[in-house]
Amino acid sequence: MSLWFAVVLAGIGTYLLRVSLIAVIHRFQVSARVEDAMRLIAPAVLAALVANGLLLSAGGLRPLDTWHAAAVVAAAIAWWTRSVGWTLAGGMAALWLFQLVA
Amino acid sequence: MTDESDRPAVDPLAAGARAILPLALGIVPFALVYGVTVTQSSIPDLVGGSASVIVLAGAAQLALIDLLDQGAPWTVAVATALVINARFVLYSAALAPAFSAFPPAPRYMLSHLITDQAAVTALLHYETEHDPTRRMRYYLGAGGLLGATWVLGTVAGIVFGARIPDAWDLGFAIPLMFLALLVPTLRDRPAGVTALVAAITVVLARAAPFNLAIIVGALTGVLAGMAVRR
Repeated sequence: MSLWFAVVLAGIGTYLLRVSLIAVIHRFQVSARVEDAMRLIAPAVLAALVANGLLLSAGGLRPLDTWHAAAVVAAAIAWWTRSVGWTLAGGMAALWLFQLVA
Repeated sequence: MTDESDRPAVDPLAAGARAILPLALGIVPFALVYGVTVTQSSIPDLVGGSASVIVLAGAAQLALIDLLDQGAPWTVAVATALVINARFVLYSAALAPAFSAFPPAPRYMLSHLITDQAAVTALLHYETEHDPTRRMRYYLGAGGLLGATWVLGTVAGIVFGARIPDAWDLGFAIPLMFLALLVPTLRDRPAGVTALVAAITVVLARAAPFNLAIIVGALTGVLAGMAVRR
């Protein structure tokens, strides 16, 4: 029973986080400055997630390995193609290639 | 150059689904792993599976199931899941100008489909698409396909199990997805400074409890980007 309670509570809380500023901001006119800040949100959150995934491991620094080499290849593919599909395919292919070599 | 009325009638619903398709495929292994984690825990399958619909956020669900399975107090489990999802407040802010033009019912329903993948895919698309109805259908296509894939993938993991060889190293797919989304957002110097400072802050704040480093890093990054923009 308390398991259901925890899942439902986490769901309600997560929904409130998702809807928070959507519910608030539509009542106000947003200033140009705030709009500038909003355009930085995607690079900020994604860079934080990338750093967490690639540079950290179990609360410590992740030692350099094939992940980092493959990430460099993937970043180059993303830069030139701007295609999520090619980046994912190329990144995984590079990872498996580096594993064979390493 | 064609005007609005001559534009080929590509349904934005299909366009959104097509844009997110590689990311939807990318989350399948993660969804299967979540499903298997549920079956191997003391959490009933129905509870763990329902979480995919109710919470709809992979990392938070894994932490929630893991903590509850270890017998952690529900307050700690729920609080940890919510801190991991705190970044959704930032997506909420970034999507608010677009969503505020939607009628209330779709606005509040589509809000549940805010995920990293759908929010960023839509934000990139909204730079060139300004019609509210088309924006709404695009979000439904992108967010709907990603959400449905997550739910069906986790259920498949619960029902059929999955044996994904360690050698495939599929854990890399998650940061790789975020990287694929990050690069197109680096369109100017403030965005680059934002990303760099966010990443450095996460590394410096790695000892912070409850995964707070990610939200702290993201906020610090936005502040740094604002500072160089002025």
